[in-house]
Amino acid sequence: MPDWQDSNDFGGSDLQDHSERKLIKQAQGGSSEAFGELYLRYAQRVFRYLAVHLENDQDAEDLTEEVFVKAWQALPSYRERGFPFSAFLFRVAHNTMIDYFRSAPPTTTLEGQEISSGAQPGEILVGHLESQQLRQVLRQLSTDYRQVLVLRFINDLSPRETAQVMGRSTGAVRVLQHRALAVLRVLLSKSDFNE
Amino acid sequence: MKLSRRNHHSIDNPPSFMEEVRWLQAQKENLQLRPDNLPASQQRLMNRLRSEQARQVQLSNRRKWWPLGFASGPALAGRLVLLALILFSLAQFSFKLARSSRFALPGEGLYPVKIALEQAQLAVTFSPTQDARLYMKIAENRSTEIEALVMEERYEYLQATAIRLEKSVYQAYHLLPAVARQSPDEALVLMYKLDDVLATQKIILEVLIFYVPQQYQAGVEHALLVSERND
Repeated sequence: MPDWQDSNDFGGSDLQDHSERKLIKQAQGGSSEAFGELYLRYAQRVFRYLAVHLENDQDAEDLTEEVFVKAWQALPSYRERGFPFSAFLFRVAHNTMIDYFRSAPPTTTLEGQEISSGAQPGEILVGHLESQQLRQVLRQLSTDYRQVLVLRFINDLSPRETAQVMGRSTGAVRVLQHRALAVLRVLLSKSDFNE
Repeated sequence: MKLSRRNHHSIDNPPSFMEEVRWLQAQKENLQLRPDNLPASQQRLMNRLRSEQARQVQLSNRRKWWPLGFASGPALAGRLVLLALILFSLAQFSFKLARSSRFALPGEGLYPVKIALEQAQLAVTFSPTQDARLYMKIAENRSTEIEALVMEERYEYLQATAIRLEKSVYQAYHLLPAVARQSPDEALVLMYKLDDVLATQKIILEVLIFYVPQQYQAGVEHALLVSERND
């Protein structure tokens, strides 16, 4: 069995470490500082999840903040009990994204892509083109296939966490992942993206 | 050949998709939040959360003062039912309290409730006749209390109760001229009734005073004086 098929040795871990539990508890008690710490831990992953589905990075940045505001509002009702915080957060992210698509139809533009102070314009452009290629490939997949690939291999969630986000069994996620990778192989072989 | 290939690629024994997985993982590089954006967005988020918290505190403070505030539909209906239940329970409790206090004697916990209810009844009467009748009823109550206090050997409250009796008898008599101006017949009936109440009280007190210890007899004597005033 390839290593990425295993439940925990690829991608995220199901175990919520002690410091994270402490931060969650403090945030549930109303500490915005503790929640700010959780933001630093998860913002990048939430951004990646959104950026793959959205048309540009600026929208994904704005929506990332929105996801955390919604997660903060829903935090009092969050109970760990086998449901990791990452799964809770990605579920909030998914719902926020659905709301976003309902209210604002997506557009494809390079506008709004601010140039980072540390990066060269050339690097930004290459990065943008590559992320656009990724979006182009993933857009050809069904929603479930796209979601399972993004959660597993771009967001590094374990199969169990992915199953919790998608509201499916771990077995169903494995099947879905296998089929999605098979379709991806076909798509990549047709294009020259992976050359 | 086809079949064996299919079996080989079943879910139990999946083909290796390492290339596709590596390709996906490599895409992470192109999906990065701008590093300089992270601390700024964290600060912005925390400011938003703080203002959200302040808004929640304001809302909950308003809700404390306005029980039906900001509710609508089923929530409003629920709160109205709750409010009705609270009012019903309060009414039931007040009714039971009033009933229990009817037989309270001086020195008992419910006695102040009994006195307050009498005062409340006086506050909602609007004619001298009603007032006079009520004062007579109150005088009867005080008289009954004096008898009960003697029977229960709680002599220490006799004096205070006799003073209350005197006040209510005085008030009832004081109102009789006003009643007479409105209805002389009604005034006459009330006067006879009051005399009757006091005469009965006098007979009872004259018997009871023999059972009261010497040091407490002043209270009964006070009540007797009030009863004899109409002689």
